[in-house]
Amino acid sequence: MKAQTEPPAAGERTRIAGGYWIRVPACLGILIILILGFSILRPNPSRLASRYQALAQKSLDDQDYATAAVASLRLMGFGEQYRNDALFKLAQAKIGLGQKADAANLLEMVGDRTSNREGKPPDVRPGSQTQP
Amino acid sequence: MGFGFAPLLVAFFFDLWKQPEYQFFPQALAAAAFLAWDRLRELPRSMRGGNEVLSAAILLLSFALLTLALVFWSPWLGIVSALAATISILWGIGGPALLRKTGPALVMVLTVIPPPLGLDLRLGLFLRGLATTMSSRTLDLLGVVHYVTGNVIELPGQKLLVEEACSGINSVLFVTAFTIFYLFWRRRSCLVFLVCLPTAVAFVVMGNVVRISLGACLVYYHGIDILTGWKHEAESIILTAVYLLLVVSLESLFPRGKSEAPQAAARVEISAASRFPPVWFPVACGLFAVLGILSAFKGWDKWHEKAGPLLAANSALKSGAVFSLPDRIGDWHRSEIGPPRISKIETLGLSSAIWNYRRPGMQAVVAFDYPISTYHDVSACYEANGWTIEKKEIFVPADGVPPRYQMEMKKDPGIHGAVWFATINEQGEWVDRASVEHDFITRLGIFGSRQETTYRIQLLLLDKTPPDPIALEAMTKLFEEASAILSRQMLQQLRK
Repeated sequence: MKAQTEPPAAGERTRIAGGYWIRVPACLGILIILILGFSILRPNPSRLASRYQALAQKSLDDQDYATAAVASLRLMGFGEQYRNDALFKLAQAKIGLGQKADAANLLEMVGDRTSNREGKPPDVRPGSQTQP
Repeated sequence: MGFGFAPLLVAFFFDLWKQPEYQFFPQALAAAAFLAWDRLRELPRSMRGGNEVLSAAILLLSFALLTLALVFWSPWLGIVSALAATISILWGIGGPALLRKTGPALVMVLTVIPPPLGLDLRLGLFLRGLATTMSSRTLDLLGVVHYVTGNVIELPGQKLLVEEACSGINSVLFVTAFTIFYLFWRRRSCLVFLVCLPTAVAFVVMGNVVRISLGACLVYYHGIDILTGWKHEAESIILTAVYLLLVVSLESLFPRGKSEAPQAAARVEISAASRFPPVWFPVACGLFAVLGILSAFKGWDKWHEKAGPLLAANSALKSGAVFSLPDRIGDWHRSEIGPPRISKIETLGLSSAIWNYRRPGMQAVVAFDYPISTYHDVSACYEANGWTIEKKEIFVPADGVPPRYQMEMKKDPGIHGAVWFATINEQGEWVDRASVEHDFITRLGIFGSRQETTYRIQLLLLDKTPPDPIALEAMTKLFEEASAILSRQMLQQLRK
């Protein structure tokens, strides 16, 4: 600040040209870091999980199996309560993508986690419990 | 005396050039020379030398380090000993005043010396993981449907691999070196260094997150790929320019203190002129020169030794070498159907032969990966592709069976994997155990390692549960039989 109001002392390096303008990029950079940091460090997992759950179902309905597969994989990472639903949706997506061997493996995993082995989807309503 | 260090320094910088993240070293050395010139102008013409005993002690330390560097052929120790000798001479000529003035230049040189214990590699892995995680969160904010596994960002229909270049390690080292140079040139205080250096690293991380997120967004919404080819290179150049501008801009935020102004060139004559060089100095120079001659001979040998195995990596095996495994090993049967693609076996060699085996309720993949330069621990590859390693140990059987690494891993969606691998060199020696026994020395990374070509046998077992004793027994039979067959075939097909 002092250098802006007083002439530079003898021998002092001349301040880089640009005056206050040169400070703008750093201020913007720090601001972006703070905004990004704030947004990134405050994730809302349950909202994201609901979004991916709805998206996976919608993609399956629309026969967009590639999106459904990615959404189901992502959904799986949000915790055990979403796992069976995600596995089932992923298996459906794999069938749609023609990867039937993968789908069979996934359906076996769903089967292992539920008592329903009659080809019906697992009960994934909130509060429902899977049987050993 | 300079000749004493020359062969090892040449080897050091030659090796450094092979590491993309350190290819800025010519600029860093030029910057160090500039800083030294800039500061030395301010010193009085006649200087008071430092304590001669201390100078001799540092030179003796340098000589010991150089001898060690020669014995173990460690270019890293070579440059450290060169730095020590420089400090000793500077101390002898101008004492603390001269050392203080040349300190910034010496610090600049330090920025091109890779830290021991592979800390730079660890930083690279950490930054890659950080960039991927932060990019994933940013993509969530932007509404891009994606899934992260290891360092791969999977979008509907395609995968983006977050490479080292995107992780920021190259830019971090360069931008850190530039920040150090710029702040020294601007004669900033320690406080400014403490604030600017972490902020500069944060700028680089932020830049990489923006690059990856923007790239994924463009692919997802418009099908435009800017993360590969010349566009990727162009982005790197633009981003580097932006980082430098941000550092200059950041420095300007701090007001200058009086102590940060450069001193006018001193013209005061100090009565006691420097006594440097002392009488023993020519003898020391002679000893260093002897080490230099020995280094030159050893370097010449190393050059040929190094070139040999590299050629061998391509040619030790007879051309058209074929490896095969039987259709049946124990109760395992060869199968054409492999595991799901998301659970693929990780390979690294120029060639890999892969066989799928099945037995009731189990599927396994055997891979023979060759040729590998020196030694490679495959666990990092699995981690980079989304596996979580739960257990890893070296297993040394008592009955002459090759020692092997055994790992247990886990990955979504509920897949359990067990990987066993063993590595053999062209002399028929199994080298995994040796790599463990010398782990600390190897990881220290300051001694040159023996160059050799190796071949790796790997077994990946996939199941829905961790392997039980029955599965482990079945694995043991398959692995031992496959190792014996493949190692025999490899040794038979080597050129004599």
